[in-house]
Amino acid sequence: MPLEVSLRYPCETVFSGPAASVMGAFALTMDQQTSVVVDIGGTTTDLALILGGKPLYASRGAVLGGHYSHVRSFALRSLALGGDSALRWNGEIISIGPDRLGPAACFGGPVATPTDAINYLEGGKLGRPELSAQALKSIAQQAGLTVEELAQEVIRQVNGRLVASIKDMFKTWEQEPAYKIWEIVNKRKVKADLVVGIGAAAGSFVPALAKQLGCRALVHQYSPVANALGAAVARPTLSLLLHADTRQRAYHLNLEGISGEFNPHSQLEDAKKLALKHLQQIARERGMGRYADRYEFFLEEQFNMIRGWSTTGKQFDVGVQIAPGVIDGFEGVQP
Amino acid sequence: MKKKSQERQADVLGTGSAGQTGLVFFPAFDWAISPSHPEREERLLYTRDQIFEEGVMDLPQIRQYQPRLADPIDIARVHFCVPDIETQATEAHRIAAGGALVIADALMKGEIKNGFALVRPPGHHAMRVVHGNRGFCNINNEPIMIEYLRQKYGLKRVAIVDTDVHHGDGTQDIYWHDPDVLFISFHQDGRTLYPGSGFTSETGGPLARGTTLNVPLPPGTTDEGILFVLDKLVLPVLEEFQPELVVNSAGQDNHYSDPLANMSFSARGYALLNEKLSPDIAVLEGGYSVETALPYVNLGIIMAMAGIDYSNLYEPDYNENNFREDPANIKRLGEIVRELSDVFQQRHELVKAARQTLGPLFQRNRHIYYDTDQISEKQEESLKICPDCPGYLFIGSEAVGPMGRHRVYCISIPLQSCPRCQREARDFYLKMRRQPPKSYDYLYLQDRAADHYRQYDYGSQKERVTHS
Repeated sequence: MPLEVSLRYPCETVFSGPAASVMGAFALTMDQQTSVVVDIGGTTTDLALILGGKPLYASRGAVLGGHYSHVRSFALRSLALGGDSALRWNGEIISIGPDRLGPAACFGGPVATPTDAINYLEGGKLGRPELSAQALKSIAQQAGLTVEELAQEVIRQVNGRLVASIKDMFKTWEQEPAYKIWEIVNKRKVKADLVVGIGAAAGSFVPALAKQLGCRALVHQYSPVANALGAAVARPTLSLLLHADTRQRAYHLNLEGISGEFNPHSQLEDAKKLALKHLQQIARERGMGRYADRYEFFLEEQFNMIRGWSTTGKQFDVGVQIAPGVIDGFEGVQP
Repeated sequence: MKKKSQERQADVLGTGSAGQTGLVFFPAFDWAISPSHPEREERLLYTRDQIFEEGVMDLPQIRQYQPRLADPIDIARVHFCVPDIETQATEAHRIAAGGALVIADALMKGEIKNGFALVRPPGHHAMRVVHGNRGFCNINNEPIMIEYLRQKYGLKRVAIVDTDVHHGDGTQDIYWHDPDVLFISFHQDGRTLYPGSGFTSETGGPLARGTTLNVPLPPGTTDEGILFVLDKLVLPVLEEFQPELVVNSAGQDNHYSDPLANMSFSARGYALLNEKLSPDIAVLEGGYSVETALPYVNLGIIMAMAGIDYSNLYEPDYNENNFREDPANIKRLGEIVRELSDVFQQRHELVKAARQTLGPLFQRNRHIYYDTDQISEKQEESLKICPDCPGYLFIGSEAVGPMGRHRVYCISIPLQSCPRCQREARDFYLKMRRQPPKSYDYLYLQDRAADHYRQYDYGSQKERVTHS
């Protein structure tokens, strides 16, 4: 959204960081595929889904500290697992994270991390590789493993947890409550075509991850900066909900306290036209008029109101938004 | 009794998240019998608003599930659908039944401690033979779930408590001859309300006497009266019957604001009923006061099942003084409770006596009317009286209505049947297929013992076989 709008609605910027990664992944692919976006950071890994070229929204709004909010956001999942997660031997198993004690050992950090494990396995391209080996060795000795075995175990665990979370994310989406017959009948199982890696460590994890998920991996030369790319090229979006009631002869929007008179003979098509008219008008007012024709309806409901045995009115709920996408002029990246 | 089965489950399956209440909410917002019919799109709209706005779905005690489509075999276990399953069970019906199956699976896997399938369309007026829709029902969701549980998880003894204001005549018909399924229905007196049955004399077939119990309630019965029946009859009978599973066939039309009935039950009464009954699974049935009752009653049932304090739940126009019972009414209910308790206590002797006095066959002739589809059915039902098992069943049925005339013959082998009855019934099917004594359109074999279902079309001479 434009900067001045975000000042008026700061809560709308929640999750703008991970959202930028999703849009970055879209900017790298620019197609209609179903992608898993894996953004591996230092402390956490963020996961998101792009289904058939459309980022998946959280059905009940952004979740903050375990609480649902009504802020519309992408469906995101964050794992306490990153390139700098601390490795430990707890006497029984190798644990990874959930905390970060500092950078990877090869960059002067206090403890071995998954980054050190990769560094070791890939021949020491990062920082001071001897520090990676040294930090890994102290844990390997406690666990009775060779450094090589430890490093592989770490990669296996990281991938295992990511695969489990990704599968769970798909399952959660498949089990999203549906309230209409056609939704149940038409809901197919989806399968990922692609895993898009974001962040500097993506190249080390994503190919193996994709293999385990049975799909292709995309690690682009811009993967390390895809978050910034997403922030730069995402076009502004706006979504609006309209509730109309023919008995009250009134409609209300969820934006800017707008309400007005509603013709009692209206049909669903009229309610949709009205919602779109307001969306486009607000878009223009917010300086995003050039994208006002990239709209899509995400909610259409109508119900009869019955009193006694006859219909006395109708209620409509319509949701319309400027679809997420990239700004005009951006045509994708070189492969 | 319930506690025991839950403890057993917890032992076998591990406790895990077993503290949660499972919920399938499937309002079928794109299905109606007709636009102004009580069974229409927005029936659960206000319920959705209420439970979502109260944040019920977000509570840690609640786990929401997505329904699925029930398979043809799930329906064939319970019904003889004429002319076929697809005609009687549309996608909407299969999803409503499938919602109950999802809850049943979650319960058996130990994912939840109990569950509520808030689904429509309803089912409790759908009988064994289905020629069309009666009382807004085509297929019967609870028996479909119970027969699935019996086949898949080996459950044997089940109790259904039908709390809908209308007599659950479909469920009663399906379990009329089954001594291992206890069916208790309390409902507004059949002399004053659809379907006009459910009197105290209806106590089950000769080999299942006493495991069908009907409590006709006088119009206007209040919270106090219904809870009296629950405390004095339903709970003690359940305690003695020791079911492995208790199902609430949860109609909500006893509510004082229901437009189709005349009772005086409140949302709080419903919540208290479910707390006391503590069903393993509740399945929504009727209830047509879509704005003034359903949002509160559904919320009350969910809260009671999930163990959430519902003491502040009441309708906007609730006045507790309206829910006291007339002492004369309590006296009348007391007589009914005594009469039915006696039948239940004597059930083993009654069945034994029936076996000794009846000949090899027990017959009943019935006329069944399908109000929604205006179909008139004549049925001749025969039960093989067996010394070792509940016997097998064969039904000749002829229905006339807008769809024309259908003549069918149905044979049903119960799960508990003895090997000899199974053999006899299977041979009988083959003989009927070769040489029917009269002209029939279809012949059915419902072989629950083998979990194998056949439908033979005399016209095309084709047989459809459904098995797992």
